[in-house]
Amino acid sequence: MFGYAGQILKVDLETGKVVKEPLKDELVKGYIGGLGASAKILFESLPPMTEPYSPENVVIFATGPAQGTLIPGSGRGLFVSKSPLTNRIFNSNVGGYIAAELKFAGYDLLAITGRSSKPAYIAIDGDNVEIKPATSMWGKTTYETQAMIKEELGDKSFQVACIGPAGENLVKYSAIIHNLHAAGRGGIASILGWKRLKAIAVRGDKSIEVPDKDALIAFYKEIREKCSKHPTLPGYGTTVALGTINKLGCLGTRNWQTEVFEKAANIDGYTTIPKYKRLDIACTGCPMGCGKVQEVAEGKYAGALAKGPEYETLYALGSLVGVGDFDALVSAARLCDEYGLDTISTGVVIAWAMECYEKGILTKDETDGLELNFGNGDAVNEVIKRIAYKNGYLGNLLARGVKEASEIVGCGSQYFAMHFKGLELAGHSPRGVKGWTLGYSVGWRGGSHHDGRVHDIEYPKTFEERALKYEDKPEIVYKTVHRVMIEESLITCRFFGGYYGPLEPNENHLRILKLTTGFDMTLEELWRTARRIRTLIRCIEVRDGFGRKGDVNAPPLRVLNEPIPEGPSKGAHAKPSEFKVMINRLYDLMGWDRETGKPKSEVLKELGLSDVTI
Amino acid sequence: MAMVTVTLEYTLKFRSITGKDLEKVTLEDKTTIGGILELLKLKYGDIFEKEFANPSGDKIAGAPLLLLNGRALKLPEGLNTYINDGDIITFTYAIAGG
Amino acid sequence: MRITVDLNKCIGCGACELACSQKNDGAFRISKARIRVDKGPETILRDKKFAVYVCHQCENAPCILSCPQGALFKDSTTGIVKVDEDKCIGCSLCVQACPYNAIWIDALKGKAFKCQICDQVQPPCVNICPRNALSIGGGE
Repeated sequence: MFGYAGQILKVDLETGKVVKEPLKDELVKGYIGGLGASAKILFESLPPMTEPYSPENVVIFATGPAQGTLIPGSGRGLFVSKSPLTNRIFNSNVGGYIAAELKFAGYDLLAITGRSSKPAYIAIDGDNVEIKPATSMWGKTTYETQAMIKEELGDKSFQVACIGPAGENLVKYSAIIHNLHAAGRGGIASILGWKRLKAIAVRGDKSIEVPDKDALIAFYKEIREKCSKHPTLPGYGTTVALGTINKLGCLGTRNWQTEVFEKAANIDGYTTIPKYKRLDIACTGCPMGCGKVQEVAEGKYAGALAKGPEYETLYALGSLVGVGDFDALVSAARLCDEYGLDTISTGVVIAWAMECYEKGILTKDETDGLELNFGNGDAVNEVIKRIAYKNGYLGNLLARGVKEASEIVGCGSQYFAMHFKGLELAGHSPRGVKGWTLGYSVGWRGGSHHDGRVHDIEYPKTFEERALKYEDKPEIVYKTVHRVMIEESLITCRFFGGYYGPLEPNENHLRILKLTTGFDMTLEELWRTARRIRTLIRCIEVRDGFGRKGDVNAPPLRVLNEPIPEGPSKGAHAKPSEFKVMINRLYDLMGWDRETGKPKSEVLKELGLSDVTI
Repeated sequence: MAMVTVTLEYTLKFRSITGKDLEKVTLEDKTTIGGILELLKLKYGDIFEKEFANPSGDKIAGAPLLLLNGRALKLPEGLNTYINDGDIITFTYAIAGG
Repeated sequence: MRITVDLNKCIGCGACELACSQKNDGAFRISKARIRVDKGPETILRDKKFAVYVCHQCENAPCILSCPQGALFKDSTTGIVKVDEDKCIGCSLCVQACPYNAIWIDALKGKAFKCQICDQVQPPCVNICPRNALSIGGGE
C-alpha cells in the first residue's frame, strides 16, 4: 500500500487489550485518512450523545497518506474525539514529529477507548505496544513528562505527546503537548486526563513507500522554492500578522470591545523577533520553518523560553487581555505549554473575566484578591496557574471555559462571552471579516479559525469586499470548508493553503494524493469525497442533537449587536439580517434542510451515505 | 499650489529596503498613489513598482498589500486614488497563517 | 571529505533524514537515515539549537580502532570511512566509540551503518535542505 502504513491500532485502557486491524481499502478510497477516516470510525463506534468524559468516548490520533513523506506541510497529525467544550466531534491538529513516527511504527491511526484504573501511558515501539504505569509522571509538566518517558524507555528518538497538570485536572480547554508543539484546541487533553492516560510514546523502524519518489522529491523542491520567497513565515512565522491585522483595524482587543490595540507595536513580530527570537523550527519535512523559539533575556520574566508566542497567542494573551508587555506575554505562553493549556481559550476566558471585573460583575473576593484589569500581564500569569490547578473560586470557574463560566455568573456576562458553539473565538474578526461571521457559525468546531478558512482569500481584499459585502461569502465558505476537509485528511498544514488552495479542492490536492498513494482521483471525485467527509461530520453533529439552532445561535451577541466602534474597520458589522441570508444560502449549497439543518436524504444518497439514519 | 503631507509606513521587506519604519512626504495636491510609487521608484528602485503596480507570482500566498488609512486598495485600479493631507499609506503583505 | 552542518541554519525539519533514507534504504524511513537530527524539546530548550549527527570521516577514526573484526576501514582514495558488511558482526563497540553519535546498528540485519557519502557531488541531504545548512566539505 503506497502512502499508508496499512494498520489501525486500537487500545482499550480498561481491559488492556491491544488490537491491530488492517486499514481497509474502502475507508481510504472513501475518506482518504486523517479527519475523513476519523469521522468514519467515530460515526461507527461512538453511540449518539456520547459523554465526552466516558469510557465509550474514543480518542483517535490520526495520520493521512502524506505523513512520513517529503510532502511539504506533512508534519501534522490530528487528535480527534468528542470535545467537552463543544460536545461535538472535534479535531485538534498538532505539528512536530509524532505523526510521521506513528507511520514509521506501522500505524495510520491509533484509537483509544476505555478508562485506566491508574495513571498510564501507551508505549508504541513498532509491533510492540504496551500500556505502562505513569504514576511517577502524574502531576509533572509536559516538558518534565516527555523527558521522563524518554529516559524510562531508554531512547531519545521516541516521540511523546502528553498532558500536563491542566489535562489531569480536567480543565475543559487543556492542551496535549508534543515536543514544543500543541494540539491546543477543544480540551481533548482533559478526556485523556479523565481516562488517566498521561501520554503516548512512539518509535518506529518501518518505511513508507510512494509510487514515484523522484516525482515526490521534485514536488518538494518546487514548493521549497516558493517557501523561500514567502515574505513573512520563514523569517517571522505568524508574529507579524498581529501588526497587519491591527493596521486593518480588526484585531480583537480587550475582549473584542474594540479592534484596534494601541500597544500592538510592542507585541508585533516586527518589534519582537529581532530581540527575542533564538531559533527557527520546522515540523517533519517542512521547508517553511515558521516556528519561532523566543526567550526573555532580562527583567522579571527572564528565562521564559517557548516556541512562540505566535499570532493566535499574541492575540489571546496580548491584545485581547490588553497586555502590551511582551515579556509577560512570553511567560504566559510558556506557562500554558508547561501546564498544557490552549492559549487561545485561556486568553478568551481571562479577557471575559477581566471585563466582568471591570464591570463589577466579578468582585475582588471572587478573584481571590487579584486586580483583574485589562492590561495586567502579571495577573494573566497568575490566573493561568490557578486555572491549571483549579485553584480558588476563580481558577475553578474559569477552568470550565467561557460558555459555562458565563452561564454560572450570568448578570449579562453571556453577552460578551466570546465563543461560537462553546469554543472560544480565535484571532480573526467575525465583524471585520464577513466571511468569518459565517465560517465560525457553521463550523463543527465553532470558534476555530480553521473550519471555514477564509483568510487566504479575504484578507487581501478591500474593506468593502472583506467587511461589508456578504452575498459572496456563502460560496467562499462552502469552497474553503471543502478544501479543509481534504487538507485535514491528507493531512497537510494550513500554512500551505496559499500554495495548495487557496480556495477549494483542486489539482494540487489530486497531485499530492497521487504522489503519496498512487490513487487517480478526478476533481469531481475529490469534491465528492470532501462533501462526504463534511456531511458525515454533520451527521454526527445531528445525531448528537445539533442542527440549525446551534448554527443560528452561534455568534456571541456582542458580534451581532455592536459594529466595530473605531479605527480603519469602523462600522463593520455582523448584521443579523445578513447573517440569516448567508446561513440559508450556505445550507442550500451544502444540501442541508433549511429548517432543521440536517443533510437532505438525496445528498446522503449521492454521497453513498444512504445507510446513515439521522 | 496646494501641498499635502502624507505618512508612508514600511514593513518587512520594504523596511529593509528603505531603512525606515516610516517617512513623511509633502507632495502636490492631486498626486495619486501611482504617483507616490513613481517617487519611490526614483528613490529606492524597482521594488515598489514591481510589487504593487505590476504584481506577479503567487497573489494569495503572501500577497502584497497596499493600505490607505488601514484599508486595502484594489490593485491596479487603486493606483488612481488621490491622496489627502494626513493620509497614512502602508506597504505590507497579506497575513498568512495564524 | 564529509558532510558538514551549520547548526545556526538548521531548523530541525529532518528532510535530510527522509532524503537520505529514501536514497540509501529505498523508502522514507527515518530510523535508517545515515544523518540524524536531535529534535528533542530538551535539546531545543537547553541549547536553542538542534543537534545533527553525521559521520566526520575522522582521520584516526575511533570506530575503526574499536572494531574487533576489522570491519571498518578508511577508503584510501576518498577518505570515507566504510563498513564491510561481510565482516561486521553488529557488536556495537563502534557505536560506543563514536564521539559524534554517527554510527548505528541495523537490528534486523545485524550490521553497522553510517554515512558513506552516497553521492560525492550532490548528496541527497545537502540537496534537500531548505536552509542550506548542509554542505559537502573537506577536513574533519
